[in-house]
Amino acid sequence: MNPIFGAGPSLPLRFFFAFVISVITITTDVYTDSSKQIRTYLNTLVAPIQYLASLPQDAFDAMAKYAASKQSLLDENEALRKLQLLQNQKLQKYDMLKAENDKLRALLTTNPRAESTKEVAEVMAVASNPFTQSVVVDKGSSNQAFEGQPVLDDLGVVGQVVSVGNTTSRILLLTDQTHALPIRVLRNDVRGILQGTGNINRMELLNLPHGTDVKVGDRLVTSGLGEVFPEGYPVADVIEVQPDVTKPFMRVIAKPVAQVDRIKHILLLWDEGQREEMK
Amino acid sequence: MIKLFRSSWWFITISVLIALVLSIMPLPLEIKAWRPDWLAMVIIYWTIALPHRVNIGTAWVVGFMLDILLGTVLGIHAFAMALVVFVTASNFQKLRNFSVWQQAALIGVFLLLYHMVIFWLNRFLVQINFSLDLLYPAFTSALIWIWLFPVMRGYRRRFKVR
Repeated sequence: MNPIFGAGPSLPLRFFFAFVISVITITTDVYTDSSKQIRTYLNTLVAPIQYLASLPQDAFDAMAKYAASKQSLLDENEALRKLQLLQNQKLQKYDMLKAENDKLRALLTTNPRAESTKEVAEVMAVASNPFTQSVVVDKGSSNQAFEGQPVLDDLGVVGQVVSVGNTTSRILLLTDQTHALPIRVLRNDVRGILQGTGNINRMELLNLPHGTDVKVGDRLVTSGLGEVFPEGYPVADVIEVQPDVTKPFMRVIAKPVAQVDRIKHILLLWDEGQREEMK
Repeated sequence: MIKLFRSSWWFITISVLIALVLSIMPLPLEIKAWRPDWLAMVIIYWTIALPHRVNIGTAWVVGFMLDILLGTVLGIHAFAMALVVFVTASNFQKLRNFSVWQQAALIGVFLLLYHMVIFWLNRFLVQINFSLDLLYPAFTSALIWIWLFPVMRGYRRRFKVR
């Protein structure tokens, strides 16, 4: 038999070391900003494991695609063609409206709205811890992704990038309970802050005084005040208003527009020229 | 001696990597909450079998990797893993002499502790609420242990990991 604890420090001492190092890493991570850079390296280091873990799902998806019948592909193609036609028609109107809007803004001597650069990223099939709502995507700092970057899907705001690796990054979903973003009501420009609750279908408007004009069915869009999300993207729809006067504030529940629970492809957003600067 | 040292580490690393992949593999929503703690179990097995190879230090490093992969605050899983391995390593000779069923029951208890520690630390750092499904993995792990223990033992003997 090997002299097991003959060499090296005793067990309680080892555990004490582990305890001290844990306290150091936890405090560094929570209370300082220095862990951002370290996390980038660490995320890069573990990326192969994440790619490995998502392999079976990717293979399964590829197989499903391969096995799809010709008829279903033709049907899908037809449906997409129709959709494209409709969207192109909308886009024509959009171009016209945008030109008009720029002219009007010029008359008011305000700057025209900036265009943003976008890139599609795919959500990787890896699980995250059950306490936070986050997903890992397959774009990282080598694609100029950065911390605090706004993330959308085809319907609305999804969340923001919280940590970046070389080829992967982690996105905090807007329904996470540590996430909040400034919004306004599309109908009447009432401003507010929308916080996640940890539930995928519920978000809450914070500190809204009684009598504020918010109704069920109102669309909430980003107000651009937090300087993370650009202005005007759809965020959530109000589904419940409880004007309980015994409480200090009105309770307003909203449901995110983006399909947060089944996202596969997302869009990373850059301000005009920002991406080129980072290259 | 050096060669032996290297090859043993190699096989331990492979088993740990497989456990890491299994811990972040996507699962259907219905059974997601029941995911067994593959990594903790593999580390506990190696601690019982080869305490001079895998001990608190290894457990901490491996737990730290899990922290990175799961996106938790760095150090939470690392500390919980080190604590569980501390308890295991203090009793490894007793554990070796238990039957698989007794071991499974004890591993279940250790993993309850593991999950409670992770919950407490998370509760302290991020606002979260307790729900019973946080403890489900301890039960599935205890059941899986009955199968995993002979498999790991076979693996150790087949490749002469010492």
